[in-house]
Amino acid sequence: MTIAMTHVGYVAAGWGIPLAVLAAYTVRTLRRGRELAERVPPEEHRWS
Amino acid sequence: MSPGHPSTSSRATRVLGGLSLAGLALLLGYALVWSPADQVQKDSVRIMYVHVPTAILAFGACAITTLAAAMWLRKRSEGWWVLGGAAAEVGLVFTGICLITGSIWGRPTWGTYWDWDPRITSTTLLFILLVGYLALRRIDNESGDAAQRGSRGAIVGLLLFPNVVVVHYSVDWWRSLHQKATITRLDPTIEGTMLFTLMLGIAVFSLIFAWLLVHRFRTGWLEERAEHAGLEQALVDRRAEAATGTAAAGGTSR
Repeated sequence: MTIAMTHVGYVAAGWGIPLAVLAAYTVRTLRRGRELAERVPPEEHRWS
Repeated sequence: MSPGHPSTSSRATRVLGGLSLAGLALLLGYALVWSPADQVQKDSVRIMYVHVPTAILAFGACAITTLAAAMWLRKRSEGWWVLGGAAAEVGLVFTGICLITGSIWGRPTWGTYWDWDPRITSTTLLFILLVGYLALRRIDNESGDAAQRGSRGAIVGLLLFPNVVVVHYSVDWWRSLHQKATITRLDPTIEGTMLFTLMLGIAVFSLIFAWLLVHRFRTGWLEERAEHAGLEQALVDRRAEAATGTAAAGGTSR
């Protein structure tokens, strides 16, 4: 299959960079949350 | 994340996360394959399906931060303090993505990555304000508990949403390279599958934004709790040290 697309590099960067940034930020936030959740008593976790 | 392991996850965030991922997969199909190329912009229009939603949500994050800053100044409650920081941090990520994607889109469309255009410049100012707000919060945070914190960060937080208004109307108030409103007018200049893809993008990135905001809020809440526990422990240790010192001094003098 041939995909005829103009500006392929720009489209790839325009989607790849945001998804990479969001993925990195998500991993960082979840890891930090997990570390803190282990240190803080469970009764302070109002969501669980 | 396993449900039994301590984390910032809950049933609601797991559902929200699943919907976000499914929506993102559908959005990628529409944005990169099923929607047509634009007659003028060609395939670079596909970058708009990430640029426009992240811009809208960055502005939304600033609105939440300004509201939280105002409520913090009024009520001094921990929840507003944590919400302001969470919204500003997620907003900073979305503003950064908006600037990066706009720059990448600008090169094939305008022939340049950067221009001192009113919309781009005011959005960059918004990014700098968000960095300043988060930096000032760190200084304020060192002041101790909620009642003792300074208000410098909150005052910067109040400036965020007014700057969003300037960003939005900058294309009308000044001569701008940036195009004018596309979807916020009564007769949108985009239609069919392209309009659907853009709306889908706004919906999917809203889910991602909400999911990140909830996790970041809970992380901020835990940071507050951990810091409070650390301060209390430090006080207990200090008192124990002082008591030991007094007892030792008493023993020596006898």
